[in-house]
Amino acid sequence: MPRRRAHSAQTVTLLRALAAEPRQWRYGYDLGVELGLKSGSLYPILIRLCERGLLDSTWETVETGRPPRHLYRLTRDGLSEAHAAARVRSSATTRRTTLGTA
Amino acid sequence: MRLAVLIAFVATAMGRRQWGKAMLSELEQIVGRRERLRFTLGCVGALVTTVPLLTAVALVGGLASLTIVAVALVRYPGLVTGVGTWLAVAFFVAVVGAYVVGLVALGHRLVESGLVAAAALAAGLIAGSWWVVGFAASQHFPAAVPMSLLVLGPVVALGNGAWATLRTRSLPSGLTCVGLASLLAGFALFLAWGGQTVAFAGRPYDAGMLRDFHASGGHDLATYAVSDSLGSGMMLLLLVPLVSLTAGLAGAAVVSRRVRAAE
Repeated sequence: MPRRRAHSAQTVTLLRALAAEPRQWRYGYDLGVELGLKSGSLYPILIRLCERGLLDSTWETVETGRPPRHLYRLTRDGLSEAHAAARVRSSATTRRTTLGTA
Repeated sequence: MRLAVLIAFVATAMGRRQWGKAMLSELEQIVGRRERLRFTLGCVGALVTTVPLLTAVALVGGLASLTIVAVALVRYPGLVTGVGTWLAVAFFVAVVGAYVVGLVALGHRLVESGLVAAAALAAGLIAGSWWVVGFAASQHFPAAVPMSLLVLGPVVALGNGAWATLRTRSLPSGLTCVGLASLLAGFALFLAWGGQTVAFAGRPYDAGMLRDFHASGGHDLATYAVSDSLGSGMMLLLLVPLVSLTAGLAGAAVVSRRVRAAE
């Protein structure tokens, strides 16, 4: 079985934000503002997630006058990955808390 | 406007035009000069740091090839003998540009079929065999073993085309693998050949070259040797992919016909 590479904290934050409303398409810039991620951090994550098949992307359909924006949402695999990442994170937090109180 | 041009340029150069378009559409939404500049610089950083491996190889290879020729021209001013030299340099730059564009385009397609490693291995074998043959020829070394490698390059290309087509059961994927291997081989060979030429001033100087040099009436042996060797390298830059492509296309076409007949 291929070994799953651990996600960075910023990737997990993004996955959680997208998993909160999995059917909703989201704009990249809005996600960055909401999560406090600059474009230099946000886009490498979006590119990687898309290339791993965890993120779906599409172009919005707009009236003439402004260019269409790119939209993102999790794929089914992405949603599973987001849940798995959240579980790993919460168990790590629990472990730290247990060690702290021991 | 200039910020948009910067993003578009870097995205195209890095083989990520769609991501460039996505970033540009977001840039349109941002108000404030400083915020737009910050967003643009972040995007440029993201495009550069996430560059696909083959795009990076193509860009570095292109830059290194141009650097080799530029260093040769600076170190050996005698190489410039007139307008013809600059025409040759312009042609060389165009060929290198075509190599980079070809590698980025083919690499992008090949990543999806998972044949990059096979293409890289074939390219290494092809380039290696040509290099040994070229070295043996420059030494006037008519040994049977190195000269027999002359057939290895086309045979590897033929096998690569056949194998890639058989594996993917798709002629376009087989041809993409052949194209990528051919371009990688040409690039690798020129980098090794040209790099060695500039680093060692065209050495080794064999008896044939010394004779030709004296007959030419030239004044500087190193300049003569570098000119001769770089000229050979540039010819190989065209010849190697041409021969490899022809052999690879033949292998891919034969297997594709058999696969279709079996189906």
